[in-house]
Amino acid sequence: MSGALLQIGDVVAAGRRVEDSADVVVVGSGAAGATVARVLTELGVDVIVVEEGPRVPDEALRADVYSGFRSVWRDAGMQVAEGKAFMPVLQARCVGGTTAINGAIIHRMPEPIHAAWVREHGLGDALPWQALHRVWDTLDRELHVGPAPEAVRGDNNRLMERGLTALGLTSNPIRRNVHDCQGAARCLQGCPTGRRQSMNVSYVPRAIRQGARVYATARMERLETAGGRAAGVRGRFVDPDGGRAGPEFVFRARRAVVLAASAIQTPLLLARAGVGRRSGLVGRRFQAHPGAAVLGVFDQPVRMWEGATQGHESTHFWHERMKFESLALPPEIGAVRLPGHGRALMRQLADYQHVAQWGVQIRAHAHGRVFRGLTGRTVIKYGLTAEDVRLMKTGLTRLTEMMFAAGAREVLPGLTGLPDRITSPDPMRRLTELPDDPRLFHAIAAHLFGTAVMGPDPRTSVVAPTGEAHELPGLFVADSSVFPTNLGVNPQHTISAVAWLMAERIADAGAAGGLAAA
Amino acid sequence: MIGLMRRDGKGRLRGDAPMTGLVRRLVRPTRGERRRLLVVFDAILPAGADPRLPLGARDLPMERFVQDLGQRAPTRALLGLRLVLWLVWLGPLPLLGRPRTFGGLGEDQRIALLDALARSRSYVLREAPMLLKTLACLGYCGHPDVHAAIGLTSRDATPPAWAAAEGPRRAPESGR
Repeated sequence: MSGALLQIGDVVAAGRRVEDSADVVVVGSGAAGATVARVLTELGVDVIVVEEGPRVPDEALRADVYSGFRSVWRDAGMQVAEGKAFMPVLQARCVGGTTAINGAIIHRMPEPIHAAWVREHGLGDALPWQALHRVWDTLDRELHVGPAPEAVRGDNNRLMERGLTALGLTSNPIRRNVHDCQGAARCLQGCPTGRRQSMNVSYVPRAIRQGARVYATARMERLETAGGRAAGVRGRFVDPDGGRAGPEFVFRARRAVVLAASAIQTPLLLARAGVGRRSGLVGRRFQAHPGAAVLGVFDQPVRMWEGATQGHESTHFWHERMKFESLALPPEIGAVRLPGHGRALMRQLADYQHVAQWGVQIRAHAHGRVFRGLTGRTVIKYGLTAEDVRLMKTGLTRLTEMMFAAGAREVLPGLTGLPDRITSPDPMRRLTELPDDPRLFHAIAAHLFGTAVMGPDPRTSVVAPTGEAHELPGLFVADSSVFPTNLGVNPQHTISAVAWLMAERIADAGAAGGLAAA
Repeated sequence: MIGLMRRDGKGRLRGDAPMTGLVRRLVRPTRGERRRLLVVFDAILPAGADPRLPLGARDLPMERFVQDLGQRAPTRALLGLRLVLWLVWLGPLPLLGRPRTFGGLGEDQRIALLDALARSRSYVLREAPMLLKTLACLGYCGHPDVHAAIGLTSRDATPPAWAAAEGPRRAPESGR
């Protein structure tokens, strides 16, 4: 069968229920789902991919942030986790998933994390270190992974390097999955030139060329079972902007259903299917990498809009659970961090080209929960622990020191209880006197994990190390829901590698007759 | 067979129509609330404050941005926005001791109110002006005219999806 990408505009014209069948139905087209589709199709497996969001062509992407929010971000960029403080949760809803809006940062799983997964979670056989490296090597090659070249570094990245070097801290240009980046600093809005090798421009088209049918704007609502096995998915096509429901769809899976819908959506689908009740862990143990940032004002123009959105980083303090990154903020978001209102705000905004921004992300200890509320809305409960807050305080203090070491004339820490602007790092010492309260700063949650954790024991995990649900044969979970812990680094490559190995096992089992045909 | 996103006769992506459900109609800001929002946005981002950036929020078609937001933002966000708007609008009496609405205050007093909220010991009160500032900047700072004024010349000048092709125009002056 030939591959295709179809979405609501195509199937509405058909005016009927849409039915299809394949060996494997994959739900989600982000780092996990697209990788599964890429691997399976090239091993000769017939695949359907179901994606809730639309395919947004490059020419439809606009330069402003809000247009990006409304076309490719989930909840128009307004999804939040609720805790003591509200924390925006960054997720895309489009073909390619969050790989279509991230900073293109590529890391392999740190070895200490892998060692802990093997030692404490029994995943050594499922995720052999050598096999992971084999996959990462392939991913690097196919997704054009390499360090940000000097031509697109831009001064936001260069200044960060200067500050880190002055403090004697190790750092490096970020390794990114970008082919011939133009340095437009528009990663968050969706790359307008298709240079970032996100899944919507890499593995999704590749899988389609190999015969996959990708149904976009298709929201899965129910898992179908037959004979005690996962047998397909059912749902509706949905208008990507207004949410109006279109035709129903039924996609049957002859061998397996693979959930790769993210650590937020996958547990909701599992819970609705009644899978994972024995462990009680579906939607629990939600983890993330919360991040916060400081702004620095320099005498020289910085022009954050020139260069890679994220081009420099430091993992110097990774063992202290923190990682530093440059992050070019468009004025739509950066202006919010400028102090004050009215004329004072406008004068600073007029000077915005002198502003730099760098952030810290922490490997938080906090565990949260994802569930569907009484009104049917998705609820994310997540609150930082006191230890996490102390980590964030330390990270923000270090960022301030980096800014001044790089030559900032003033820093805007954005912290409650401290001055709006400071001209030396000294006032940051007062942070230790302030309560360990997440409401001191504005953090965002990126990199989401752990809501359908994998492990060998059905009492303490939702899926087996193979990715197959303990309680429902033929149902696999391939996204970061299965990660037993967060990583401390950007997870796209690890998500893809774990999904890749799962897909190989699904293909092998199918070839050996280990997966039942319907 | 990629690239099947279709466009209608007006060049919009197929399926671009706003949601018209009853719940959405009930939770999105009313016309009066939208008018008040523009007054608050005008206070946050006034015109003529700096010769390098003469445009203010009132010089851009922000009412279309607010309308678009009302059609696309999540229900909870819209409810929060309306709550925050009224908190600010009715804030002068409890916060400044002045028996007026936000729209009845002078420019300096409006800023004093917003600054007072932003410095509040209460997290919820602190977040109120932050939410309004976030939305004001999300619309205003995305406009190509603003980009050009702050030196952001490398982006394309395609207007945001919510902004009409027509040039800047003034929003209503008062909202009291």
